[in-house]
Amino acid sequence: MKTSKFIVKYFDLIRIISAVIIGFLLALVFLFFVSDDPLNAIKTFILGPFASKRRFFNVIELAIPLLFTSLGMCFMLKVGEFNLIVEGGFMLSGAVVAWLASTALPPGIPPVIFPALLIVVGALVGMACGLIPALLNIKWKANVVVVTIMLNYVLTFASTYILRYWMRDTSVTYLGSHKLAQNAKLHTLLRGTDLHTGIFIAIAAVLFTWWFLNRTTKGFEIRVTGNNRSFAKYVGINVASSMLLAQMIGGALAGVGGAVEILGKYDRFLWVNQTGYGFTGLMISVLALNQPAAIPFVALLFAYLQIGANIVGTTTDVPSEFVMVIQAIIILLVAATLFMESLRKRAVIKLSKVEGEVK
Amino acid sequence: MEEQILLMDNITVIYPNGFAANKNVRLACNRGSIHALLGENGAGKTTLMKVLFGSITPTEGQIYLKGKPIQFRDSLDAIQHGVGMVHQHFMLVDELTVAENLVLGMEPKKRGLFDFDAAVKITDEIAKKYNFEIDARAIVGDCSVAVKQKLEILKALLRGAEILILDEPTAVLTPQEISELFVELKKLRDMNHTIVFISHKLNEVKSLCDSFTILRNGQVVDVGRIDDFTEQELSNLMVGRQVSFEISKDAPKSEGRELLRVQNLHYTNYEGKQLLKDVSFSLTDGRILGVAGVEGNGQNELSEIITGLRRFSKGDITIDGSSIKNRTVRQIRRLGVGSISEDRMTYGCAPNMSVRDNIIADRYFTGKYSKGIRLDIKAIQKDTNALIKQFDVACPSPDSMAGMLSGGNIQKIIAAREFSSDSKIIIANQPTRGIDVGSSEFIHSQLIKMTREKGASVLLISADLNELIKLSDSIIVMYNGEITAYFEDASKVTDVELGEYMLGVKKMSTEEIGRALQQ
Repeated sequence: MKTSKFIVKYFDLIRIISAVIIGFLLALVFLFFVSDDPLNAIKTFILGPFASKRRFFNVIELAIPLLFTSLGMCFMLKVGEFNLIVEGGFMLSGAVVAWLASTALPPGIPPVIFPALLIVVGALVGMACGLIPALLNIKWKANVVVVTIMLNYVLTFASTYILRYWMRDTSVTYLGSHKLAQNAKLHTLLRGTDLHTGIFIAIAAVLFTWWFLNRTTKGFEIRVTGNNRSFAKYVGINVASSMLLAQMIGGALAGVGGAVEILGKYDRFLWVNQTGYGFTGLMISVLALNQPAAIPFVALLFAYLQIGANIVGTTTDVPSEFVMVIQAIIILLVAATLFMESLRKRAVIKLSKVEGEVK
Repeated sequence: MEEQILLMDNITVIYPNGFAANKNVRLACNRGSIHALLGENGAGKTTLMKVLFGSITPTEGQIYLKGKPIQFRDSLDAIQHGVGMVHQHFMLVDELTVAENLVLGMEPKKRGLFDFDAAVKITDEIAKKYNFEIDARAIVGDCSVAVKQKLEILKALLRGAEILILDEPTAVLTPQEISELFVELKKLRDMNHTIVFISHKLNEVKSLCDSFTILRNGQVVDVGRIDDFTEQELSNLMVGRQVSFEISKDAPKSEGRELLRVQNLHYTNYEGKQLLKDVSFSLTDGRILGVAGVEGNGQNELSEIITGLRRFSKGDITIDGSSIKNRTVRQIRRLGVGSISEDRMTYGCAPNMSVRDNIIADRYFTGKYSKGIRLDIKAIQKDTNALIKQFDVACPSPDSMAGMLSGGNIQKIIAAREFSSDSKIIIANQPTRGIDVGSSEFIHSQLIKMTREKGASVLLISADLNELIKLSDSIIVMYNGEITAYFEDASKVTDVELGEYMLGVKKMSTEEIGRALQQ
């Protein structure tokens, strides 16, 4: 009786934790097959991220861009649109910001003002990226998924165009931009790590997202629109404008993320391929059931998995890509709505029978 | 001895949300009889029939057909075993002819191609056999509801149905069509078919059925022969308490202020079909105006136009003196229009949002509940808690998801929102469809209260003629997008009379209809 009640109440949480555990276990099985020294690989994977101060902070550093992209995705999914532009928006914003910081703007702009300005520019770039698919969708009913998948390529190539023709440093042998102005960069917080002040911006973004969606009239409109568009129309909500707003904010968050990442962790702009942060952000938001309060925890989990996998990749005979097995299994299990449904069903039936007898 | 053709024994169905729709239900039917399955909305009738038709697998229980235990895999399996069902919502292809619909899935073929003439022949034969009158070559989309229903019954019979389930077949019919249907059903019974007749209209059950099973809250409360019980006894069993069929209301206290005026309204949809033709009527404060009509004769369009969801082509509508032309839904709502939609899950609520959010969905932006873009959570909590209490919404907490509640409770949430916003006009489109008797009574009393105490007007659109006649002060009838009758005093109208206008058999003179619009 008590267990049944518990199962029904916390079913979503139980389901996700089970999915994570199963994903882990299967990955371990996988490691046994591909590694000559599986026990070492497993140990490195699980404990590696805690083995040194640098590695531990690597996890937190990686969580920062993931937070921005997943919060951006959260806005998209809340309004009911599968807008994947956070991937491309993140990258293009990074490129534009890097161009401004390395080449276009004078390096003498005072410290705090310089990065603040660049982050605002990043937000605007991301916002514009979010606006395009939203407008195409509202005006001509263009499918957002298709538009954004294709548009992401356009944005990727636009970014590399900026890199190659606007800010490439020909004095280095690899493809990279000129050095970013020192004044433009975000400060490092801890000696011996790369943890930078962007963490505060990320935390602020989490609080903003929670507050905006749950405590403002515009957030309310976004939630109603995403939940039931016909109902939103019927109570007089301007559906088109809340769709537009949500996707602009989602894009802006991705843009801020791109700017913060570049200014916090890089000396030069080096991205030539999609970063993948956008798609990981999508996974995080789905796994967090689009709850802004749950997103930081899931983002940390994903960062932990990725860092563990990187360490495994560099110190053992297993390639770091195996972590994708875990991610894929977790997402697969969470997305499969019937996963563990029989457990819930049994609990529900038990409960309803007991209640029936009481009556 | 009568042969027991069907036995459903100890059926229990628990839905994934934990709702026990059927609890240890037993249903037995004899061959060649009409068995009534009675119960309020939500009592579990439809669920039980879905089990019989193979669309739901019961949590527990066994079905016996002609004495043999059987388990249907799906509806197709049920059909093959001679069980046919006519749903409340017809499963027909509107673009095809009657004959094509009838043979769908078992088409006669000639040289590998569909043989339309053979299909017509099959249709004519089966119609003749069962004495149904139907035009095999008519396009289904152009047919009346009654014809579509006949077609559905023939479809089941053609597939060899011995047991025919009819789920509230009379809900959409006029009194004339109902009596025609009953003649045909009795003929089927005499030809040794078994019919399970689901209804909550007891006068119909009395005149048609032989035996009955009554469900209440998913359990069987009584079984017996119809002749041994009076209508009142049956209804008391159904509801579980003494019910009065009377709705008490005072005479309207109208100051003669015109709150709604619809003048020469035309509406043509994007396909170019004219759905409203020159509709004119007015509604003064404190009165309820009923709109009768077979579904699909323009009533939905009318309600959507008045609430701003659709734009009208020609004419004008004024709310308390101001025209609603080119106004948005929100602006119209601010003029004082509240509305209850016929489709509560689509237009009435956001199922995955809390009860509280659903109640404030039309007013969250007002100064009372927000400052700038910030929501005032305390004010919202205080007022919604009071409304939940006042409107008697049964929910575990104000934060529960609306979609987890029963239909009646969702309708109460809608009422709590629409009746509490100082509305001058309520557009109530099928406000009690598919909800239990208790909730219906509550909605009725609220509608009366709105008009008698608060001086609001109600435009009541309903397919339930009983409800319409009892609640309304005046009634207009719509047929084919036009007003075909206006009755100044609703208490002097009978349902049969309304039926004649609803079917388009009769039409009042322009002058008589014109009186609906006060000058």
